[in-house]
Amino acid sequence: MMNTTFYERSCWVSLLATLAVSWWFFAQTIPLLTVEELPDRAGLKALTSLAVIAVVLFIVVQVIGHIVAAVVTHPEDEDERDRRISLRGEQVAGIVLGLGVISTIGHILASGWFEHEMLVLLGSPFGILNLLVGSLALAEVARCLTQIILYRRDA
Amino acid sequence: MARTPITNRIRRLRFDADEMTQADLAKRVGVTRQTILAIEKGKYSPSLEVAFKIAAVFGVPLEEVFAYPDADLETREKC
Repeated sequence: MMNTTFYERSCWVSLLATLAVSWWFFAQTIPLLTVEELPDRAGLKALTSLAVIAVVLFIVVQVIGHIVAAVVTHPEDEDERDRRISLRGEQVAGIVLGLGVISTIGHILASGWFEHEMLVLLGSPFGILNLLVGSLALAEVARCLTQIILYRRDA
Repeated sequence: MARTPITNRIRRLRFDADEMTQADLAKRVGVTRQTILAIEKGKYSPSLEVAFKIAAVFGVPLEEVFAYPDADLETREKC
C-alpha cells in the first residue's frame, strides 16, 4: 500500500463500507423473502427504516474510513489520472445501475404476467426496494473495483 | 489504463537533472508521484498539458522526452 494515493485508499474505504453495510442490510431482509406471505404494512415500514439506517451507517462508516485514510496518506489534489480513473469507474457503475433498474422493471412486469411465488415476491414493494438497494450496492462495488484495478495496473 | 505505445526518457532526464526524485518532478508538474511513476513505466499517457510541463521542467523540447515509435516509422515510410 506504499504506492497508493489518497484517492485509491478512498476507493478501498468505499468498497469495504459498501460490502459491510450491504451485508448487514441483506442479512436482515433476505430471510424475509422466504416467508410464505408478503410482508404487511408494518413489515414494509420496518424495511424502510432498515434502509434509512443502512444509508446513515454507510455515511458514518465512509466518513470514519476517510478520516483514517487522510491521516495515513496526506490528501493531495486530484490530478488528471485520478479524474480519468474516476470517470471510468463512474461509467462502469452507471452500466451496472442501469442493468439493475432494467432487471427490476423486468421483475415488476413478469410478476404481473406470471404467478410464480418468487416473481410475485420480487415484484412487491418489498422486493422492488431490495432489488434497487442491491443494484445500488452492486454499482458502488463495481465503481470501487474498477478504480482499484486501474490504480493497481498503473502502479 | 492499457499500456501506451508512447515511450519516454523521463527516468534518464531525472537522473541527469541531479537525480531529481519522482516526488520533486510530480510537485513541479502538479500531479501525484504515482502519476509520474505510471508515465515512466509507460502505463499512462499524460495529457498534452502535463507532457509540455514535464518537458519544461527539464528545459528540453517535448520530442526529447516523449516519442511515438509507430509515428516515426509512418513518417519515414511516407518520405
